[in-house]
Amino acid sequence: MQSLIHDSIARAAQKRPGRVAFRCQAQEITYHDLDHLTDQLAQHLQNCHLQQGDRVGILMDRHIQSPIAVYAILKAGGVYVPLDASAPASRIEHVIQDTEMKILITSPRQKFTLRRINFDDLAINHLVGADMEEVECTSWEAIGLIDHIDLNSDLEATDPAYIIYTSGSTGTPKGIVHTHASGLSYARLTADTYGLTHSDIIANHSPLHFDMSTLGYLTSPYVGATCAMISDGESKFPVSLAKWLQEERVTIWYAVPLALIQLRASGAMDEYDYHRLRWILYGGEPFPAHEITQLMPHFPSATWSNIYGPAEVNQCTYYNFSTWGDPSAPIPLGNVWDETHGIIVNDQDQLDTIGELLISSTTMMQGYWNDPARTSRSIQERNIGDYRLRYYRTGDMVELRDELLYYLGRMDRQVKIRGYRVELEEIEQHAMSVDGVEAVVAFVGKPVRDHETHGARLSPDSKHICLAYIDTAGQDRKRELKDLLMDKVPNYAVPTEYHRMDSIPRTSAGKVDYAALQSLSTTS
Amino acid sequence: MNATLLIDYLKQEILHDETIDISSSDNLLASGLVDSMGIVRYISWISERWNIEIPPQDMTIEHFITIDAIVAYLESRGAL
Repeated sequence: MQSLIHDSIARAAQKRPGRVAFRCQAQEITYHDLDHLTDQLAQHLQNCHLQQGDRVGILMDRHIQSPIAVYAILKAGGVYVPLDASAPASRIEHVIQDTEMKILITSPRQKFTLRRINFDDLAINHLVGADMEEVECTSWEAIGLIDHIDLNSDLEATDPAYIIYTSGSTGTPKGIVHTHASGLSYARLTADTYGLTHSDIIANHSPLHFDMSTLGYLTSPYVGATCAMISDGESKFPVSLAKWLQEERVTIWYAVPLALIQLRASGAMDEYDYHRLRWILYGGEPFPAHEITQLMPHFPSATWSNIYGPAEVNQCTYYNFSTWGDPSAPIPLGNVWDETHGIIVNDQDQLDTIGELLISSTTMMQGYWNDPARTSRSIQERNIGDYRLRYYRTGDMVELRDELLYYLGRMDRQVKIRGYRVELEEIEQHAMSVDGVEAVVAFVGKPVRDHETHGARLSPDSKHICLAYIDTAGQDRKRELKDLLMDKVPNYAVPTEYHRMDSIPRTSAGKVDYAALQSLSTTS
Repeated sequence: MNATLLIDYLKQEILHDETIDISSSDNLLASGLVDSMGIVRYISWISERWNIEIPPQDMTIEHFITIDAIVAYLESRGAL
């Protein structure tokens, strides 16, 4: 039985060497070539003295070099850490420092991101795919010339494989550590749940640093399928994406709801035939049912699946449906999938039908990187019958009704913007460091409508973050706040509205009155 | 001239970074440069600056991937 994630590549290369493994922007790579190229890059990493368990960064746009980097790092015994190229430099530098990575794999296309990073205080001593004076570099072309392969690795299933960073409420992002075992469980369970095979073409919409990329990067090679990667350009232009989706003969779709909502809003879907799609999978945030019922006719052969699961457990529940009656009814989270146990715990820590969802699963993370205190807070051990299980506290409130789980909301102030997790406290922590600002509240404003994006129809109904603040001198601090936050948090988390106030509105119970704040929100 | 105008606006108003060295053949869409909201603002400005309506079906990768592509698109629309 397979115990390491990268063994998928050698197996697929043996069974169907000529099958395309990844495809992106008119470039493709077969399993045979992927196996060979990842051997070469893995050898290079070991020649650069990579030790087992060392973290290696990946700073890449959506490109077929990206899976080569992923699988080469795993083959070499390393742990891959995706970096978000669109994040502020301080955030990228934080992840590099936090993981103490010495090697970074990138590409010449990332020259604009690389020039923003200050390498002086970082431990990075080698770059693959860049040309810079400050650090030793090796080109992708040079990797392709390596002909002596002699890889040493002594990995076990319980060893870390990758670390995904996400927003943290204390002001710095936190790293979620997944092992070969948890990543492979995810690949196996998705393959089984959706009956995926080598003849599937799986669309990958998510960038590597977003946890939903695991279906394309891990499951697709696990079953020997073709992963059709949506390029950065296609992700930004729905009209181009509408055409791409037909031309790529995609059978499996997996993305945040916004991707399909934008596709429909572009008006371009009518021209194309999407009958090959057999699964429409979505996750990251709830999909409004009225949008789904309007999208369904475009995908006559597809079954839909609502996928839920924090990055800490990969996926944990699913709900499949082919039709949907009431456009105003919420779509359930459904049930936990195989190898997973879910319980609902009320505020008295007793099992209940309404409360926080706790998940124990083979797909669960090992813990947070370098943060045992946070790990122990988020994981609870409980006796269930004769077993003692480790449960991840999701922080999500759910209700069990008619044997189906329904999402109710968050226990904390985490929100989702375009599927990305944003901790409002993180924004507030940074905002408080601006001189003169003495109180801040971050909140989600009313959705921006289509016509306000100048008819561009690229981002209908997108949620955005607003900031209310008090300034001691009564001065407008919008410029300072925005400049600071653009340097500290990802662009989707930067507030678009700033309201200077004399006092923060509160309810009679003394709590922040979010309803009052929301009514301030203009649709700017 | 038009390429310079396009690059200057991109640097000043979209990227807020005047020191960045962008050429007319650089891929503007690869992650790490202009995000999706930035693209919307940029297209909106182009539409006003050259006084043309850019219909949804024209909002494609081919027309906006580089400054050169944008210039070619504006020429094809008779705006230059």
